[in-house]
Amino acid sequence: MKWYTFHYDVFLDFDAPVSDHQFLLRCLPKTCGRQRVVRAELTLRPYVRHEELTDGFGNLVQTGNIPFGHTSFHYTSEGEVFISPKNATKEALNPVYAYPSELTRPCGSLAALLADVPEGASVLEAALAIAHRVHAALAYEPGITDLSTTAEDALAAGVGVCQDFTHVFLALCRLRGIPARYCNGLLVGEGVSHAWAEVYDGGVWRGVDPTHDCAVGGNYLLFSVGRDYTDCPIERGVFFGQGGQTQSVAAKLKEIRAADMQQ
Amino acid sequence: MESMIRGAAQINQQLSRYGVKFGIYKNGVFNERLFPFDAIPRTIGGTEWAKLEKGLSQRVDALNAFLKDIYGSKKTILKDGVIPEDFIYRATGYLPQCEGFTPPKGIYSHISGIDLVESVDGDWVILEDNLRVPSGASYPLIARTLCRKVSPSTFRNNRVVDNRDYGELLKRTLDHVNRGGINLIMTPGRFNAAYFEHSLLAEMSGAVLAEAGDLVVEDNVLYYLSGAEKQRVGSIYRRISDDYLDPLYFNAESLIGVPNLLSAYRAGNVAILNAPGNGIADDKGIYYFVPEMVRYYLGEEPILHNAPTYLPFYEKDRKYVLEKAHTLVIKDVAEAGGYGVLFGNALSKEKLDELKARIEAEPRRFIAQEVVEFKDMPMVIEGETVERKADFRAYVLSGKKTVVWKSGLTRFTADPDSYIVNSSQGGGFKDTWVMC
Repeated sequence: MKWYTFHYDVFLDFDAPVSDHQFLLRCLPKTCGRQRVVRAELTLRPYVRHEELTDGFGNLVQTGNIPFGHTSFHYTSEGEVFISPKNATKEALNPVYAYPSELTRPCGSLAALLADVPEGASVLEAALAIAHRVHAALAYEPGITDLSTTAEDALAAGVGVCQDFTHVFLALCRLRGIPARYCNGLLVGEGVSHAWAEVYDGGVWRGVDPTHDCAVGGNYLLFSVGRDYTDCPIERGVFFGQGGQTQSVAAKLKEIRAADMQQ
Repeated sequence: MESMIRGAAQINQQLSRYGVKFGIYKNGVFNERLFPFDAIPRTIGGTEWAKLEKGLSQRVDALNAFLKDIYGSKKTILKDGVIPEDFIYRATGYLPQCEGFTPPKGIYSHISGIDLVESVDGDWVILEDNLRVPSGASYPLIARTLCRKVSPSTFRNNRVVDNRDYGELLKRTLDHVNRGGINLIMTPGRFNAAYFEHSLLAEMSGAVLAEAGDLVVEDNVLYYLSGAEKQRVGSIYRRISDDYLDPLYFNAESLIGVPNLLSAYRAGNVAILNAPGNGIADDKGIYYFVPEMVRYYLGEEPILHNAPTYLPFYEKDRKYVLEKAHTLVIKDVAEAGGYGVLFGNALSKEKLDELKARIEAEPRRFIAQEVVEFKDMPMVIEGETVERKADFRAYVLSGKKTVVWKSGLTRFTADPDSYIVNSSQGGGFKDTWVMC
């Protein structure tokens, strides 16, 4: 088990003032699976109150509203966590993860990718083999797919970002009969949030990252899970106002070493 | 009753003035049309009604128990193998966003519209359950009021149970689950085909009628904005579908929903009638299992029966369906409102073969039913009395107790050869008299 600090900053800037801004965030980790939360805090600017509750997927959700006019919304999630490389926490399966979702519907071309995944493989072996095929089938290229791109469309385009890699992976796992879910969170060395997947293996969720073609170790911090992206985005908002918005993100997940402590 | 039948034209004129309309989609175009009223009522005798009442309450109690089980952590009906998991998790009505939370008092379906027909042997047969936003209660309400005006003697000479208590029943249902604050009926707006109904129900139940723009969630509490004042809302009877309810959880494009309404609901600060996620219980595929639910949850034999139904999902049923497709009604479970309903006997050989191939490819998507020979009812069209098929929607309200409104909506087909009695498919309505 290693000790980490995390810091996740999102700046939403609006061209013109917006008001009646209702927001819903899933940007704070909870203690589950591989991770133990020591401290986790959310700061909002403009300063407004927020409430916290649990959604249907078991994620922590922070909600609130900014009634007055504002031209930026800045939220920071920050704290400390212990993360172990392996998950040993048993959890009952919500059967919904065994079934296709809107963005992970199966199709012929997806099924074809499964053809040479060995029959007798264990869940984790099969999942890693699937991740390998997804990694080979897609090139990492931002700006071509968007938040509503399905697994089928991403595969046809042959390109995508971590979200698309994950959707294709989820579609394949579910086709193969392995319950799997979408994960949002932070990864050591990444300056933005990251998406990966977990497969259900004998009572335990195990992480697989198809974008990096590897099993998930101790350097991933989980914020939210769902059937696909739509169920569990880190931020969703509705507001009144015209004009565009820009977003900038700064994410940092960093191990605290004993050596750092002594300094 | 003669004077009432003579007064039918006058009543229809009044109905159109009140804006009693029905909206239908045909060939992708939305049209509103008047919902013609026929003055010959359906009458249901006291003994017959008592049996219906018992059977309907029983069915709705079982459906509520099912919803609580499915969205709760136990899901025993799946674990015990009574319903295959596929029928839940592949159904569009199931909403995982509603997991891990029990609505106030554990009630999911507060206002249920159960559709039945009376078979030629005089048995009542359940056609469909409607647990999402069942509409139509306003039609018999307003029609009865107009009939009383046009022909007061009819109601002096016939012992008809007064149906004007619907508002009171609705109020009690809203009060029972209220989490502190006012009762409110939420409408998509005055351009909605059922706006007349929304406003009438608000008036009759003493609830506030509001649109999304009048509502705001603060600190996970729902408020109604009236001028400078804010009133806390404890119960909301929403007349919009789940998908449009809250753009932060469901369809992000929705302009008629209230952002964070689901948060306020999950925080336990407001009751939503009917509960989001109910669509799983009135799914066409789940219909097959409702009699089993009655046995499973209540330990009772179902008083009212389904039409004989087959699930091609089960091999035995599939064989039968493929063999007898030409005599069966086949329904696509993904479609609602009378769409996706095919009568095998009306299909050409090619169409029938095509349908069979689809059933074989995706058996879970279909259910098949024997055609129920249901009673014709008399009605007056251009001065002539003719016979048409009619069904009946009963309104079941679940609060402290489960009660059935002593009236209901009788709908008839305009087309003498049609068996599909759904307002979306044309036709008109009648009043329903429960006799004392």
